Amino acid sequence: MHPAFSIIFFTITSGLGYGLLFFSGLYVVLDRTGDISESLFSPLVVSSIIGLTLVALGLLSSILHLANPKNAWRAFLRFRSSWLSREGVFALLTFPVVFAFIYTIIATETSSVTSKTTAIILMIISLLTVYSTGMIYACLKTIRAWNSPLVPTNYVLLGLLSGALTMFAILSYYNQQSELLLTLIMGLLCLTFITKAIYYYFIGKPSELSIKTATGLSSRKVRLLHTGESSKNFLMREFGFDISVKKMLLLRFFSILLMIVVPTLCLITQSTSFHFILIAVACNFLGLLLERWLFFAEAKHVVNLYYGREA
Amino acid sequence: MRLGLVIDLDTCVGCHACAISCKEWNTSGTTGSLSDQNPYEKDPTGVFFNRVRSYEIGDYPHNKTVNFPMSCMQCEDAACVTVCPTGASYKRKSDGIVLIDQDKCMGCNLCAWACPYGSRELDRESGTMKKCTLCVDRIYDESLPEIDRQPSCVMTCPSSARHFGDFDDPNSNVSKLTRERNGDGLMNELGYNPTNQYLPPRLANNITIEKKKKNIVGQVKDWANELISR
Amino acid sequence: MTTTCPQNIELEDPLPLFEDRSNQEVKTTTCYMCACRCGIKVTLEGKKVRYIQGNRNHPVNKGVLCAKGNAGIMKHESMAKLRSPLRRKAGTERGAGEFEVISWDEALDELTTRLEKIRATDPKKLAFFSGRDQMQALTGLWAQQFGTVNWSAHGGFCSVNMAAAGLYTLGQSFWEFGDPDWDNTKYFMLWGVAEDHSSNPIKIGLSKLKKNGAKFATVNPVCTGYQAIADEWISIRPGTDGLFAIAMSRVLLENDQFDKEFLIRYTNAPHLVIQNPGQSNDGLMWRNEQGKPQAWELESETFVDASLADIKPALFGEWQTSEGFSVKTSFTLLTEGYLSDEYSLNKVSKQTGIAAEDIERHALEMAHVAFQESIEIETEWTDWTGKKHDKFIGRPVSMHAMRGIAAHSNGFQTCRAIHILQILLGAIDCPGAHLAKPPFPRMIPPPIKPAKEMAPNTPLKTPPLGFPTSPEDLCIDKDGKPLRIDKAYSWEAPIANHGLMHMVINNAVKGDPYTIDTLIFFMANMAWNSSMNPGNTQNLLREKDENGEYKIPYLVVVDAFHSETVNFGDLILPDTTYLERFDTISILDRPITEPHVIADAIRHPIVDLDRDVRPWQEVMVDLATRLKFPVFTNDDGTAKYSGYKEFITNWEKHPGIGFLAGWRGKNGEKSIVGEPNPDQWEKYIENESFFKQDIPDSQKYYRFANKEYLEFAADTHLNFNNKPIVMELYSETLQKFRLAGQGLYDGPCPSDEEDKARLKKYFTPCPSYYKPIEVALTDEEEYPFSTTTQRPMFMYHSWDSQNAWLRQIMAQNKLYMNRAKAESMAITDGDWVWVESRTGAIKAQVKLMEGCEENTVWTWNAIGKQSGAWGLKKGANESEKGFLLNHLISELLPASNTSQREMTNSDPITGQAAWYDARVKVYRADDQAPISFPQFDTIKPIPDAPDQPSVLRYKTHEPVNIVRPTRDVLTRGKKPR
Repeated sequence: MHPAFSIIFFTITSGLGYGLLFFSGLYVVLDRTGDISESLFSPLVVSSIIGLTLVALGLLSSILHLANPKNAWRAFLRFRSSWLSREGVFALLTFPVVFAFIYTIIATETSSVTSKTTAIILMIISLLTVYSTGMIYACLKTIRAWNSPLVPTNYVLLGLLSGALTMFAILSYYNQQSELLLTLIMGLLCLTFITKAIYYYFIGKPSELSIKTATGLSSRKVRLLHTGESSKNFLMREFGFDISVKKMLLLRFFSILLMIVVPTLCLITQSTSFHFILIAVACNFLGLLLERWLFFAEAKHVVNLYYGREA
Repeated sequence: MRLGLVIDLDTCVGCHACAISCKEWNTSGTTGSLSDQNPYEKDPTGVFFNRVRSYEIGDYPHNKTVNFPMSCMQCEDAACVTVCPTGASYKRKSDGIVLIDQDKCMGCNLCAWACPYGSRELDRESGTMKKCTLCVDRIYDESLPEIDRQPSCVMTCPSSARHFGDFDDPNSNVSKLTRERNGDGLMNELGYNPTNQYLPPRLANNITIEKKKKNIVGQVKDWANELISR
Repeated sequence: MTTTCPQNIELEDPLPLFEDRSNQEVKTTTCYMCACRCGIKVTLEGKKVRYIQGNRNHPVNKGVLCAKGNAGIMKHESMAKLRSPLRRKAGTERGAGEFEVISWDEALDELTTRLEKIRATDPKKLAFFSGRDQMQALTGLWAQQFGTVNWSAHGGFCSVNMAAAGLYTLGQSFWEFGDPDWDNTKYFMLWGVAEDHSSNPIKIGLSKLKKNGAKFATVNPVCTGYQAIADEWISIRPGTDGLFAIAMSRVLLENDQFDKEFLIRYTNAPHLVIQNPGQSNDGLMWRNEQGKPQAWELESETFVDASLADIKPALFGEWQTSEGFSVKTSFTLLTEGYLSDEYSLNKVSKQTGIAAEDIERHALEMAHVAFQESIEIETEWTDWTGKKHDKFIGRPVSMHAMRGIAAHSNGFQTCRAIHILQILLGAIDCPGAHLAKPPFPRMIPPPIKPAKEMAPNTPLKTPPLGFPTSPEDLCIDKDGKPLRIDKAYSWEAPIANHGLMHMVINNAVKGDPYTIDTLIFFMANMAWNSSMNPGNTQNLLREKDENGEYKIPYLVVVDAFHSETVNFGDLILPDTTYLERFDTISILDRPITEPHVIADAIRHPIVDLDRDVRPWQEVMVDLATRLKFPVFTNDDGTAKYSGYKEFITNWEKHPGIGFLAGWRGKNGEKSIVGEPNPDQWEKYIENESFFKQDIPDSQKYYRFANKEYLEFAADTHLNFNNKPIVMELYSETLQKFRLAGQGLYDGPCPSDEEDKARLKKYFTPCPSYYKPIEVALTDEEEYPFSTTTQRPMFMYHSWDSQNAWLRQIMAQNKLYMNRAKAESMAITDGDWVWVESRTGAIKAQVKLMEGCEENTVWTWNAIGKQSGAWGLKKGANESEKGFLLNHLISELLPASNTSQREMTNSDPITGQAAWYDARVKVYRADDQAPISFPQFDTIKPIPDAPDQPSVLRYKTHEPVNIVRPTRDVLTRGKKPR
């Protein structure tokens, strides 16, 4: 698939934003606020605002990807069947939920029932939205590399991971440490590594689909003679992306390195240094960019079979 | 009704008449125009609803060439309809034709991602997705003579490799052809239940031969003559 | 919103009104995207073309239409359309593209003055050659009236071999001369046809015969297009088809499976041939005092007049005569030749690449179908002897052949061999077999002799092209030198029925046989894909003499589009597109008749002209009137015709016979023969732009011997007399030329040794096979590959890269190679390779495929373009990556051992350009840069050329979108329906 930067940016940014929102909610639910004065500049409020801003940025970016954005408002109408619609609805609902959350934690105590309720709703909607984003890809049977429950799993885990790291950085900026959060992050780092490895193993298996099954001409070898156009057409621009195995392995290596290994090292050695945490956040983000880019680049749409290519 | 096409791979000579006729009808049709970029320079490209590809089966000299036109399969379980967030992509209840409402499409490409057959293309000029409409703007048009109320590609095909009809009617031409010639849809395993059916190439009958090698004795001029009158 | 749903179907999702019919108009005319000339219906909306579709009622295409026809809109919208007459600016170089716009008056005055001078002094200084095959009847008449022999159309570099072989053997041929009986045939063999002008009829026919369960076998080095749907693909080495045809005939003879009755009744098989070596009558027909050929009557055991009806002649035998020589039947000679060792199946197999057992099988399969599966159609008919029959017996084996056979230097003999095969099967003009298309079958050959005498201001006595039957008919002077600039009808190409257009530039520049003054090219891309060695051809056009004058002093190019050749013109006369003019598709010209339907058609203006161009037909009538050609001038010197339309309606070739056959007579009540009808054009327009008349059942078959048909054909001047047509297995015409080569002929003989050698070797009276001349002169080890081209189904020669829709299908052509062969040479798919011949080199990109004969490489015809031509911008794929094989081919053969003359690279019998004889070597290029070689300078746009848009959004009305109700969006469930 042709990797579109606006979509890559959108999924990473909104994933990060929702991760932040999730952990903001979790903090309230687990009564971890401690003695923070509930003001506009308290860490939870800051994390919520940053989270929401990132979500909004992501949404804006995704609209950039549209060829006819004036109809974007219609995207909420097919909640019944379309994951993109569902993601849009949940994203839209995120805004009042976050405002409610911020209001409740400022207006009432963070340990109040109202706060905890909005926090739980916030956590749920964050998960739902990121899950929906992942499902947009996972529900497509045409792209084998996406058609797996590991995809929404990875989306959620990576969103949580990047959000958690950012939350950790915000807290560190406010000179607060959280053993729980650190433990959760380490857990997430392990989990994402394992699921990513399983995912790469899964998409590494040879496909059962071929030009023979696609055309139904399955008795002997089938080769493409002519595509019917001598320059690239829409289908090849959108789906005919090529990446060499060497480049792919190299990028995988660096994405894991930046996304998981470097943050792990940073946090194991220097979990109290704000600068190191920032490095962890930045590297994780860069690694995510690579990971998401690869997610598109490695994905082969089944229409490629009709073009004599692999899928 | 379940309207669709039958494509006969046994008689398709790969002439592209269907692809161009479709382009011509539809560029002034209900989702027109079908834009072209770089039409007179390097790497021309444009929106086509129907594309004809060619494949070779087997190795030389026992190879066979098959020409393979593909356009929207008007699937019963069309994923392109399911994934569309705006509802622009939909399947008509009366006849099963899958359409894209040009006023509603936001050009997100998701339907093209969902379609395994490459039936949908983005028209950069309108920013919307477009595809074969089964010439819905022809087939019900009473101002056309009845015999012309067919998709343009079907009317134009010089080697009768395209047929149009109602698959819900077991006596329609398309239903009969599919039965008689063992027609099938493409990539059924994906579960989209394509309506368009493809008829495989036929195997030829053997011709028996008689060998009567005569004893060629002597010169031709001495061969025996039969009495035959003019 | 008005719905347009049919009233008997109530749609729950109603539709809007899509097309505003009140703003639309449907007109019928004839397509001209190729030479198939299908009937089309053009829907106009406002001033633009909304839709083009086939006309169901038209006899040629019956409602279907190919990709080219459907792309007519984009032809009409082409950026390459010429817009006004142009003149090369004084002081600029030819080919530099420096033009100025001039008026028609200026252009025609200039041309008329020049032509007047030529006509009054030395008419042969005008060479007028017509490329794309419009109205040869009119252009030929024009040349004849001017008084120059230097005219032909493009057949000499196209497929004259196919036409000539048929006309000298059967009285008809393939393509527009005859067609398979698609409805009834049970076995069809296609030879060397990729895509053919008879494009839609072949497609319709093939689908019919497949549905009927007939077997379709195809002989071709390439497996694409029609070959894809064949039951059996016979891969063959190019140029060896003659061997295959002769070998299969041999199998029939050896297995005693040939149609003896057919041979005796309808051919010259029993005619007796003189065996008198060393004498002037050796190999000629033995005739009686009345000049009739003779046969040996078996019952009376005497020699008899072979044309008598109630005899039983011998097919085989040799007898002594009282004149001191023996005679053999034609058939004996044919069979002796075919059974000789050089045509043994093993030898043939080695050269063709077809297994010996397969050669045998193919022949016997055809024989089985012809004789064991023959068909009968119950109809009463009368043969030429007056005998009545109650049925037509059909041998349902049919064939079709085209350029793959013709474009070789042995193509004439090969095509004759194919016809002999058909005759042996009895499969000519009978049900299920090969059917003639009126006005064929005709006399063998037609009794027209090419003109030889020219005089100032005097029309030629006979047309410039004709059918020689002996050395006396050659167009040579008393020293045996050619009279025509292309050397047609000289010893180099005696039976050059269609001229040798491909030699004109070379000969004119070299002054061999003489120089000319003015060269007019009509719609022929001689400076590019229609020439061999285009680079050299362009240089020849630029060549100057020692005085600094161009060796071809004045070049007039007539075309509708900005081709590479237009760029070289001194005067450009712009033509219209096919939607903008009146035109005829006449029986006198290249007819659109079907086997059982006599038909002709017109074109008329569908859209208004928006630029200063004129139909060439009109211009020719205008020039003819200005030059006061007798046919176009009244006795008092005034113009006879006001223009083209009036000329067409009123001119008569014979009393009552004109260009258009329909609605003749004062009130349009007559057909084919009748007085001119002044309203004839209107009648055609009213009647969907064509005329057709069915042939009665009793006249449909065996027309070469069908009394009713022969009389009808003579009465309507379709044929020259009503005599039965006797097919020629043995060609006395060829034998006469062979005798001349041996110095034995009692008449003109050549003096040059090279000419003699060619006549002796190639002019065998029975079909024979010889290695293509170029191949015989080439080191086959060094140049192991044959090369061919084929025309794609979606483009017609050079005409469609200007078409925005069609060029998207293919803007770059590749060099196709057999995959296994390429891999053995370390060439992979997509590599750039060098292709070298003995005369040139090109660099191109390969595509590997299975369906390609191992020792052949090929590409699509004419897709490579010169940068800047055809309305395309610099950098277009056609010029940067596309290529022509033409650069590898020379119009001249290398000098041989016997003579230092550079002979034309053509068939020695007809002068047909031998495109596919070329031999090359192929190797991977070190430099894989993706640019083809050679590259040429970018052609400048013409002065008034429009700017090419970078986006096209063609439509004739605003689209009527189908709006989905919002309620439906919200309420529809998860499942699509």
